[in-house]
Amino acid sequence: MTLAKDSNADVIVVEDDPFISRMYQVKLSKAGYHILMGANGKEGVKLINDNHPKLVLMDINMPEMSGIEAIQELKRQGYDFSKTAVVFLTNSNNPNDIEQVGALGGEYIVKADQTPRGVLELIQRKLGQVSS
Amino acid sequence: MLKLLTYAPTIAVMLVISVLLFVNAGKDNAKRSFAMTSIAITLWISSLGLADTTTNADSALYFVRQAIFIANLIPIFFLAFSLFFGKDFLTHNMIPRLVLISVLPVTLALLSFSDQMVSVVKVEEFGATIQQSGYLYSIHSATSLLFFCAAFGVMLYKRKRTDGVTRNQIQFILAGAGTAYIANLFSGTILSQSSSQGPAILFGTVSIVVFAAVVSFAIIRGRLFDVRLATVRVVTFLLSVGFLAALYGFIAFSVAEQFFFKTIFVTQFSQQLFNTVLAVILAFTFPWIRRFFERATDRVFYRDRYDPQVVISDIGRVLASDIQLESLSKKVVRILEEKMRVGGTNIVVLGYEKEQGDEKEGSGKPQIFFQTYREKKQHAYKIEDISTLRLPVTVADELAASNERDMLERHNIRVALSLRTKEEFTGYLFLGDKRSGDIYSDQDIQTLRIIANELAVAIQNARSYQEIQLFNETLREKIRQATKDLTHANKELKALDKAKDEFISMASHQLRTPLTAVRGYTSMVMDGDFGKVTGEQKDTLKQSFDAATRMTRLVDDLLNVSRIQSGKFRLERAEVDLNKILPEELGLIETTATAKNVKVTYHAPKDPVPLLMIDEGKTRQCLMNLMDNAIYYSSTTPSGGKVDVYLEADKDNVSFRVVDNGIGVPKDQQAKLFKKFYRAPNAQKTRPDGTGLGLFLVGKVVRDQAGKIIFESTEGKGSTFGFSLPIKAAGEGLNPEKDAEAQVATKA
Repeated sequence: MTLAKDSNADVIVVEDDPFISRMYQVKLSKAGYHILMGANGKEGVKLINDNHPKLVLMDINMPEMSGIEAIQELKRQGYDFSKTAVVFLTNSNNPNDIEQVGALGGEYIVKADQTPRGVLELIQRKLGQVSS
Repeated sequence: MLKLLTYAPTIAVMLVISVLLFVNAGKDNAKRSFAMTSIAITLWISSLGLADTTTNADSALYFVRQAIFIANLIPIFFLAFSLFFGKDFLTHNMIPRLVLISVLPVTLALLSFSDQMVSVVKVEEFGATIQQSGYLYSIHSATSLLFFCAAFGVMLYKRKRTDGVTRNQIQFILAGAGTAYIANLFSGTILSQSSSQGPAILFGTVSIVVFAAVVSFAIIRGRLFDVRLATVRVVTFLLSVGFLAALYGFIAFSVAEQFFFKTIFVTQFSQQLFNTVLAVILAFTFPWIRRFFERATDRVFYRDRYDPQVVISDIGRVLASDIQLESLSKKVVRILEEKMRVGGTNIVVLGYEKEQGDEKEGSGKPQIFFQTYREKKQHAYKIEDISTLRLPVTVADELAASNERDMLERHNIRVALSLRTKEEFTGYLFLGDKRSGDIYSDQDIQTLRIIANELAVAIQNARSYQEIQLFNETLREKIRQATKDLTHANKELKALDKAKDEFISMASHQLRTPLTAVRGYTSMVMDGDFGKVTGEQKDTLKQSFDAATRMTRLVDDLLNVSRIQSGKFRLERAEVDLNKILPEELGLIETTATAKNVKVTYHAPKDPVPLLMIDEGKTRQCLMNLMDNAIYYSSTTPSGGKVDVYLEADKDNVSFRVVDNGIGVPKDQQAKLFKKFYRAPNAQKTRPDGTGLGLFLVGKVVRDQAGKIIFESTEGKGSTFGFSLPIKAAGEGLNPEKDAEAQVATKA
C-alpha cells in the first residue's frame, strides 16, 4: 500500500481491516474512481492533506488514531472540507461516535448494514453534489 | 433544797421513761416488764422522796413502808425483764413459773406495813432513817438480793449469747442496774445499821440517778426500746417548760418586788393585767423557746438528723430522671452521703455471665458489673465475698461473729442492702459509718429499704436501657458492615456490568466486521464485479447473502438489548422513506419465505407514505423482525403459509402491518409477549432457536418513536403484528437535547 501523492485521487479509503478495504477498493476502482488507501487515522491525515480528495471513506475504530480523531486533527490544521466530503464507516454503533460524527458534519454509515454497491451509490450521490 | 435537786429531776426523768416505755410497750413482754420496773422505781423513789422531805415521823414511817412495799415488787419486774429481753432463750412456759416464784416477794410486799418490817422511822436533817426493823426486813433484803442476782445472772448469760446492738443494750442495762443496785444495797442494807445514815440514803437516791442516766443513754444511743425520738422530744418539752417556768417565776417575782410590794396603790386589777400580759407573752414565746431547745437537743442527740421523706423524694427524682447507670448511681450515693449523712456509700451492680443458650434473665454466674468509687482500694469487693449477702438487709452490728461479719468489717460496711426486683438480683447498696458515729436506727433501715427497692428497679431499667443501647450499637455496626459489603458488591457488579457491556459491544463489533466482508464480497459477486454469474449461481449467492444479513440483524438485536440494559440505547433519527426500505427488507426475507413455502404478498400503498423522522437501522430491524416471525410461525400451517404485508398512511399516521395465518398467540400469553426473552410455548415448539428479543425490541423502538404497536391474534388462526408511527410528531420534541445538537452540527 502506498501513500503516494496523487492529485487525481477521487476517493481515499481509510480502513484498518484489509478484507474490507480491499473490497471497497475493488468496487470503487471498477466504478472508475481513483482510490488511495490508508490503514489508520495517521495515514489518513497525511493522505488527505497531500491529496485533497473529493471524498473520504473513514473507518472510526482504528489503531494509533481513530477516524474521528483524524478529521478533528485535520480541522485543527485548518484543512478545508468544503471540497472534501467525509463518510464515516463503522461497525461499532457507538452512540458517542454518532454524536461526534454529527458534530463534525460527516455522514455515518454502518458497514454491516451496507453492501459495497450501497456505498458506491452513496459516493456517486455525494460526489455528484460536490462536483455540481 | 439539796433533796429537791436530787429527787425532782430523777423522778421526772424516770417518769418520762416509764410513761414512754409503757405507751410504746405494746405486746412486747420485755418492754412491758421494763416499763413496770421503771414505774415501780419511780414510785419507790417518789415514796422515798416524800419520806425524806416530810417532817412528821408518822408520815415518814408511812412513806418508808410504802417504799418497801414497792421495793419488794421491783425485783419481780426486773427479773421478768431480764428473762424476756433479747433473744428468747428461756421464755418457754415462763409466766407461770414467774408467778410461782413471785409469791414470796408479793407476800413480803403485803406485809410491808407490819411492824415486823419497819417499826420506827426517825426524821433527821438529811431525811428519814429506819430506826427499828424486824426480821421481815432482812427477808426482804435477802429476797431482793436473790432476785437481782438471778436477773443479773440471766443477763450475763444472754450477753454471752448475743451480738451487736442487743449485746450493747444488755451491757448498758447491766451497768445501770448494777450500779444502782449495788449503791442502793450499800446505802440501804449495810449503812442502815451505822450511825450516820442520812448521806447514805442520799447516796442510794443518787444511784437511781445513775440508773436513769444509763438507761436514758441506752435508749438514745443504743436504740433501746425504740423510744429515742419520743424521749428526746419530752426532754425538750420539759426543758422548755422548766425554762419558761423559771423565767416566769423570776420576772413575776422581780416585777412584784419592784412595783407591787413598794406601792400602796397596787390594785387587784393591775396585778391581774400583769399576769395576763405575762401569760400572753409566754404563750407566744413558748413555740420559739421550744424550737430553740429542739435545735439544741437535736445538736446533742441528732447530729445525723435528716428527713427521710426528703431523702426518699430526692432519690426518687434522680431515679426518675436519669437512665444512665453510672450517673444515677453516683447521684444516689451523693444524696445518701450528703442528706443522710453517711460515709463509705457504694452501689455495686451485678452482671450475669450468660451461658451459651441461657436466655433466662438473671441467670448465670454473677459478676461485679459496675460499682461507684471503684478507685478506692478498700472497696475492691470480691464477688465471692459479697455474694454471700443474701438477706434484704444485713446490719453488721447485728451479726454474730462470722466470716460475713469479718468481710463487712474489712470493707467498712455497716449496712448492706440487697438490690432486688421481682425478676432479678441487681446488686448491693453498701453503707459505711454514719457521720455522727451513731449506729443505724430502725428509721434509717426503713428509709434505706425503701431506697433500695427503688434503686433496684432503677438499676434494672438502666441496665435494660444499656443493653438496648448496646444492641442498637451492634445493630448499627452490622448495618454499617452490610451496607459496606453491599456498596462493595454494587461497585463490583457495576464494574462487571460495564465489562459485560464493553464485551458485548466489542464482540458485536468483532462479529460485524467479518460479516461485513462476507456480505460485501457476496453482493459484489452477485453484482457481477468478478465476472458474469448465472441465474442459478446468483440465487445461491443470494441465500448466502441473506443468511449473513440475518446474522447481522441478530448481532444487532443482542447489541441493542445490551444498550437498553445499560441505558445507552439511543435512536438516531433521520428522514426515512418506508416506501423504499420496506421492499428492501422484503427482498431480504424472500429466500426464507420461498424455502419455507410461505407466500408473502406486499400490499404497497396507493400513494407513497410520507417520510418519517425515525431511526432507520432500528426501524429496519422492526420490519424485518415482524416479517420474519410471520414467515416462521405460518410455515407449519397445513394449507400453506400466507403473509400479507401492508403499508398504509392516513392523515396522522403511517402504519405497517404483517398479517399471517400462522399458529397465533394463546390468549393468556398475549400480555407477556413483548417482554424480554419471553416466548409463548407454541412459538417455542415451532421455532426452538428464537431469542425472545425480536418483539421486545420492536416494542421499545416503536414506543421510543412515539408509535403504537398493532397486535391481534387468535390461537390457531393467525396474527396481525405491526406498528403505526405519527407523521408530524415523530421525533419532534421527544429528544430536544439531540435536536439541539443536530442544530449546532448543522451550523458547523
